Amino acid sequence: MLDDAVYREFEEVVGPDNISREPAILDGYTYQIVFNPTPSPWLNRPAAVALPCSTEEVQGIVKVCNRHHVRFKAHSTGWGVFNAPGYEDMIILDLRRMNRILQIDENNMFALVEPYITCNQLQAEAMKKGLNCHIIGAGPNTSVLASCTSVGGVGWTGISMGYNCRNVLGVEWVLPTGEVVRLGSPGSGDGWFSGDGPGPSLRGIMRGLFGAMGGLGVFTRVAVKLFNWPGPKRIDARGLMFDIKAEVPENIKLYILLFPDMQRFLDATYDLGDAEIGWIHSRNPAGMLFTFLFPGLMRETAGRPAMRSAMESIKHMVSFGIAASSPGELAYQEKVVREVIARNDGVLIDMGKLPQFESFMLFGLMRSTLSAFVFRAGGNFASSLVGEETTDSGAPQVDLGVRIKQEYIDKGALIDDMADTVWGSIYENNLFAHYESLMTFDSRDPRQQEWIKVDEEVVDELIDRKWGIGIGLSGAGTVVHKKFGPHMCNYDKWQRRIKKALDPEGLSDPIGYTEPGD
Amino acid sequence: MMIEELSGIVGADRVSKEKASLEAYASDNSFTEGCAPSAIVSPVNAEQVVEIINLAAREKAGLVPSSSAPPRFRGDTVPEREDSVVVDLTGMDRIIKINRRNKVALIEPGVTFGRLAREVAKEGLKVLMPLLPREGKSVVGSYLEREPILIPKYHWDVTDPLLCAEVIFGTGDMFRTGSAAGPGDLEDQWASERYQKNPMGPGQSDLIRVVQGARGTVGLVTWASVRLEPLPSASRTFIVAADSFGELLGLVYSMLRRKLGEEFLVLNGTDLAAIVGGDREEIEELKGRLPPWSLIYRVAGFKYFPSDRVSYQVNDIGDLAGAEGLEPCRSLAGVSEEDIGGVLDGTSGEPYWKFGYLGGFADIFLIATLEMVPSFLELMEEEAKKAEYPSGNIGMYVQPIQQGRSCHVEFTLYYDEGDEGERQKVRGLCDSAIRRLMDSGGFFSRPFGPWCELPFDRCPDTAMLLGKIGKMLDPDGILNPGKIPYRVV
Repeated sequence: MLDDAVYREFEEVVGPDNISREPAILDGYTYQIVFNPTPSPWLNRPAAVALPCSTEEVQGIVKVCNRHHVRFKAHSTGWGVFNAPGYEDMIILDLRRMNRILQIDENNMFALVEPYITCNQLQAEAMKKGLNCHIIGAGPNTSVLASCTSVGGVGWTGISMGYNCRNVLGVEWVLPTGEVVRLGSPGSGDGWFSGDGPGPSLRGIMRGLFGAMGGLGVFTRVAVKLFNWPGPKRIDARGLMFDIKAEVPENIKLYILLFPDMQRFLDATYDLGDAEIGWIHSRNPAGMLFTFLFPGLMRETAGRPAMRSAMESIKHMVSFGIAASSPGELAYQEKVVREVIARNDGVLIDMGKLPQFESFMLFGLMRSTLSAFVFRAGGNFASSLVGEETTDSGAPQVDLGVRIKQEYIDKGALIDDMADTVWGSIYENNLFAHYESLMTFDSRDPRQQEWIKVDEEVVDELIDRKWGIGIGLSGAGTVVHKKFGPHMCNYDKWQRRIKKALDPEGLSDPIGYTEPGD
Repeated sequence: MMIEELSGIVGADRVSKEKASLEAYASDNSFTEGCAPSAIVSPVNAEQVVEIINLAAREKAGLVPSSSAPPRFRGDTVPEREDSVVVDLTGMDRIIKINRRNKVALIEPGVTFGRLAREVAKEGLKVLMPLLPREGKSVVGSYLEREPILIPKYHWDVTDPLLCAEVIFGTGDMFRTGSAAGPGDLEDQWASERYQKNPMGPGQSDLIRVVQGARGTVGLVTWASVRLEPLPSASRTFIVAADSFGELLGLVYSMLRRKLGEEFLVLNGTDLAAIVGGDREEIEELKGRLPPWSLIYRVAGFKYFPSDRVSYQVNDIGDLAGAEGLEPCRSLAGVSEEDIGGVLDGTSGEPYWKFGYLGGFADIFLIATLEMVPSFLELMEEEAKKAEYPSGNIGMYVQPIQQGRSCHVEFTLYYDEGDEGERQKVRGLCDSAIRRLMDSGGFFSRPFGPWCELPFDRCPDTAMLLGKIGKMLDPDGILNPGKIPYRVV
């Protein structure tokens, strides 16, 4: 419970219409099933929620929090358990009123956005100017700012548009103690084109492979890189999801690439990366696509070894896209991809020959609408693995993830998706790769409450074999640090020190980051 | 610091108190004022660096890291405290690993551009070069300084081409950044096909970003992995001439948008003449023949259908240039494709190319968006006029970075090395121009020389936060004191 006098101070900052402590409202912030390792979907109920509309109001709330020692956490589009309040008696800053695209700089290829601008909103506006943005795997309904500053950054267009951690330019940041810092050039009033300097880049404090998940204050603006979009300003589409019908532009090509085995998938991926072609690249195994897109059909495969064997034979499947700016570039990229397939004994399926499927996949991949299908089979999902290093290093990790997961499928703890639902994308022409093993389950089924054990087993074995790291265990926070820290140069010690330097009282929700310490 | 103790760490033969050697560090080619160090210590491994840092912390002595051979230009290695010891890292010069498939090298700080380029070429790879580095320039040093590379499409983020690093912080803690952090040591990681390629992390911070740009004030890097790219199987180099930078702007933006071309830079006639010319007389003659501005780029093909790639890019760029009323040429005013190829691939001959014209020079560099550049050029000409400095002697180099989202702008003020009056005039011009460029929106992201405090005065909130982080990583303030003004909070 918040003291009434303190509540009134918050009210003075945002106005009485923009703050609430109604239990029904507050419970809207406590229900989180995605990556939630606890048996209950209901987590901590905050003491209040405030809806600031400006950086000044965010700063005002944070200063009240500091005066009265109230914990706080920022919330934008709220995807995943990382958004849940770590404690009761804290205040949530719901940033949905900060929902403007402040600038699209067409020549210099970046956009300046507030926290509640979603990926699909930015993409639609950027395309009008011949630009595009990297949409993360969580889907088009997620906050651009959140993936840039506070959470992850993976997605299917990483081959051409990178990883959102690395797509950040200038940043506006309300520190846990209430000061406002603008990182890089905007700090000196010089525009938003750079996020680094003068001198050392504080982007390295703001986030790493993952963001601080609300543990280092509130980010109120970010300048994010945009990339060339050679397609039309608008793609007219009718229908939704499966039924969507759209004209696929002539300079866009979508393919399914099939490989006979992992080695040839890897070799082809290196070739595509070295050739610097491609707009979209994602390993999407057959079991994963069937489970997500046709869960009823997938259930029918149980006890039908011939069907499953046929699907198993096409599991090394890649969704690959080209977006070309000229006929010459299109011809070159098509020629290369066909040659890469030929040299690696693969099969190329041109989605252009399957118009309805191509239309569906265009939006599925371009706008990341495929992500939503992950909930179809059982209503919930989780991830393990995430080896983010070379493409080759993922191969044994895939085998490991599949083996452990199969044990849980066999005992009914996960939905049978043929175990290999490891999707993976390459970044920056194959600088590194991301492999993520998805698990689908029904949270209401008492037998299917064990996904976190899969994560734990995978992580333990990755560490024992010194193979890499896993995400798992809800991605961050003290539990993860205890697991990984001793094997990774005690990075958690530095995070505690950063937390202490920036937030000595630990008011910015430490649950997904760390408590302050030495 | 006690010589005996340093000798105990590295051996007596790797500690120098020889006067000429110490005096060589007391100044450099910048206007930085400082003093000679008390000693020079040359460690050969990370363990020795840890011991040196721990000793310096006990003695409260300053440590000034140096990883390149002279001459030096930015003031980073000029000690500001007489008790400072230079940590000479040039002896740590192992190329620890080159991996062709993953296009990466793991190198120590003493590895130079020339040497690394030769070694990786044997594997069909190329080093991402800055503009004509001197032969003895440290690759790790250059990347830590965020010096721009010539190929903007490979500059995805500001850290590129630097990936992971081993760092010894001012606390004496050894830390490995990015995926190099673990699990396992380097041998374990290589055994599982991990080659220190992911620069992010570990965990929820990217301390490599803090080390980079810090001028050695938070940690000393003992090795780093660096991004390499394939050597082309076919290539062609072009020059597009223009009377003004503004004429090139449309073409530059449209090529960068589509990631067309490989090496890609813009030079004015003075800098291009200084690069391809020989002695002063030849450079003067070339200046008269060369166009005021030149966009230089290379197109290339790789493993698959290299000539097809070159062909479509040449055609597409030709179309874009034609729409702007510009024409790409293979040679220009006697400057051949071979001349330009040497500029794009090589290191500088001796003496360093900027000494060739008048013997002395001073650099001013900043970052901005490309469309801001023309106003900066006007401003520089105005300031040169006020200072009675011949504006025709100003070299200008514009290097797109971050795939074209901004650019490095570098003015080189050439002057007669033997003329102290001229030198002081150039110093005054630097001072007035830097202040005006800052006031006009130029972002001095890499503070240098005697002006290194100025950029921080413009962003007190950033300076405050940097002060906290600097204190965390170097609590005793022993690492290169004074080179970044960590404000006391």
